[in-house]
Amino acid sequence: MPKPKIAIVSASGCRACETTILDIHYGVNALNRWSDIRFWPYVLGSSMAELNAIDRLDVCFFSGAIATEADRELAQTMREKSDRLVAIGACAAFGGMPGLKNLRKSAETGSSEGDGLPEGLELPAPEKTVRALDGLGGVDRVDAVVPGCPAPVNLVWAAVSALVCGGEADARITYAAARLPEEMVRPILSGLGPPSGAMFAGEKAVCATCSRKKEEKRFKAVKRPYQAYESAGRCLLEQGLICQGIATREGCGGLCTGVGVPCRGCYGKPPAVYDPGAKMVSAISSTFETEKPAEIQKIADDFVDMTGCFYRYTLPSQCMLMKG
Amino acid sequence: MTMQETTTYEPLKGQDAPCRVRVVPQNGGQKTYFQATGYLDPADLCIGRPVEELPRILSIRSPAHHLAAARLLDRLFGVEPPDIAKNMRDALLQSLTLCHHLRNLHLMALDPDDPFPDHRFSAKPAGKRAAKAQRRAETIMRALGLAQDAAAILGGRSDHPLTAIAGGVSRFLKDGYYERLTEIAEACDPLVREIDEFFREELLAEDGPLGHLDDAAVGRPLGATLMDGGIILRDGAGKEMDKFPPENGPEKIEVRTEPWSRLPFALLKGESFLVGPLARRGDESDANGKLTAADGCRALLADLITTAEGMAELYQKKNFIGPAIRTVPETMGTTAWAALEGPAGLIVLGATVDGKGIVESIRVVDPIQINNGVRCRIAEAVVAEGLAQNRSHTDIKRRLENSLLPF
Ligand code: SF4
Ligand code: SF4
Ligand code: SF4
Repeated sequence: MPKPKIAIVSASGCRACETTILDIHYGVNALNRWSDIRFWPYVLGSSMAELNAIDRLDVCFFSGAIATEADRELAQTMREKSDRLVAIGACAAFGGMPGLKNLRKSAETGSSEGDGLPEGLELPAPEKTVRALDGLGGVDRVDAVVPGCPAPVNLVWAAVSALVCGGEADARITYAAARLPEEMVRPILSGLGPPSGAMFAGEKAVCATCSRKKEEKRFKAVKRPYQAYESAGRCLLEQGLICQGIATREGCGGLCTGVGVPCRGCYGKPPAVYDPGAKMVSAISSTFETEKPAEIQKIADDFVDMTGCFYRYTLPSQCMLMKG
Repeated sequence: MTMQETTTYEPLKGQDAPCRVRVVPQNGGQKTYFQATGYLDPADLCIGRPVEELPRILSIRSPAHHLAAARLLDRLFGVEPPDIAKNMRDALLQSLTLCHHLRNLHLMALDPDDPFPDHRFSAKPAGKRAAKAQRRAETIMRALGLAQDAAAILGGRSDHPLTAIAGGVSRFLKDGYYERLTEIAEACDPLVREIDEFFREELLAEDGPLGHLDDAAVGRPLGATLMDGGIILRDGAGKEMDKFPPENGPEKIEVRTEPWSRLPFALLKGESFLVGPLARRGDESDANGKLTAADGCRALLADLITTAEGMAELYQKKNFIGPAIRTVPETMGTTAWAALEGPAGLIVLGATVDGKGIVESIRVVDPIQINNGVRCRIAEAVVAEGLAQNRSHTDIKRRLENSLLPF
């Protein structure tokens, strides 16, 4: 049987998601055993001419947000050519941190094309708003998503193993699948492959796997991470730090909270949450210790940059007020 | 050979910002442009955010920006991290330096005709060349795996680290990690020496696959590095020309945009300059006043070894234990500057905040912009040499890719 043809590409983001595929170390050489890596500009310098010569790809792993017209064209081409298009990382899946640009009024930044530019030096224009590959306002449908900023090695490799290596990489599937929901693991192990739209992460919220203890469940005052707090043990939100574990899909095992910093939601919202910002507002306000309006107002005044915080990685795709 | 029509070398392997080299016919000759076609402006991500979020946000530019931003917070809040926090940050920086250099060296070592050698399961025994390529790739990957493990222990994860916060780090190391760090340092040392050896003796040899890195030379640029808290500027011969504190960065370092590239250019005294391993290893400056990509590659290798030696010293339990991991700030300023000598070179950050600590303005000067000018010159030299030698498009493109990676 011919080996599946794959492509690995990035739009606007950093390269961390893309290089996660290299970070299985010896495994990246072994990937060659199961697949035919046909297009990987960052690692192989593959050109668009090489891409144009390929009729069909089995799987494309796409990272980065859609921030320029070149990104949009790349996304559309990869969708047309690929049987399965996989969004790797928060940028591709939700718009990621580059999506914060949508909060700035002067969306058009960077150098402007001046007069007298020699022919052939034109540059791809920035998109008016940064978009995600998938989701609300996204460029196109994706077949699978590996969230995270960056997407973690184990889940990326679960996706690569399931979509590319078929049944031949059992060890990696087992190691990576430990955190995946059963409904996803079963079709992978049966050889059918992951269901369409598969999300390579958990289904509950980060709190479900966070090692921190919830005790009082009362919110007394907003604290900023530069102020004093218990770095180990107790739930950060209960201590007054804005931690988005309750509105974020699990899969990282509470990576940030485990090292003493609050979750910022890089896995996007879990399926039970409609809008992560709205969920955070309702969850926090319902636990305010006081019921006195003046005191509530005082607490509310201490919240800063709620949009930039609650939608740090998801503004273009999961903020229902700003979708588009 | 003179080009009659515009020629493009795109995309370029291993470049973090999407970019291309365009050669445009001009006035009977041709002009070479190193063009960045996309760029994320840090101001778009940072303005309006609480300042304490900068270490996490700016890590989108490189993991070392996380540490530079933590230094900025220390200055803004007027706090000095306790010794163990400083050691943990330094140790993280060392691991990130290995990760950065090894990643670039891996991309340079890739054989374009057999990029992922995996010959153990092949029916035919691998040829000598393929077996060597596989050994080299696996040695680099083993070292990279170790460096990433250290970075994850110290930073929470190896890319986009998390643990550096205002006044220190966010948590003590877990039991078991102390010994692991020592083991990692011990295991890295022989690997980086082996990498240095096969690069110098096989890959960079005159007839080796990277022997061409010595073919195209440019005039030695000014070099800048951070030393004892001050930014030192050296001329092409390594002589100190200027020293200034990071807060003088804005008046000394001009950031210019050109209409043909999305990536700004940072200039010192009106000239492009170089940061990174070659600039910080001032003693290795080339007596003939020329710079080649091979010099850049050798500086990466030398830096790799120095860093591994530094890890062996620092990755000891005694350096990571103590009473406190952070100094909690009591006051907040409105403006701060900080600099860090990152793996790829000098990073200078400046920010102003409002009374609630919300970022109002941000300045980021880093190797991405600083080395942009030198990359343009290297690209020009490689294209000129390639055309003079009638090299093929593919050959020039591969030479460009490998020649730009050390910068
Ligand atoms: S999701 Fe994060 S790690 Fe991945 S490309 Fe975007 S910024 Fe980089
Ligand atoms: S709110 Fe944050 S700290 Fe608290 S349990 Fe959830 S994830 Fe953990
Ligand atoms: S804790 Fe939150 S921000 Fe951190 S990795 Fe997990 S989902 Fe992402």
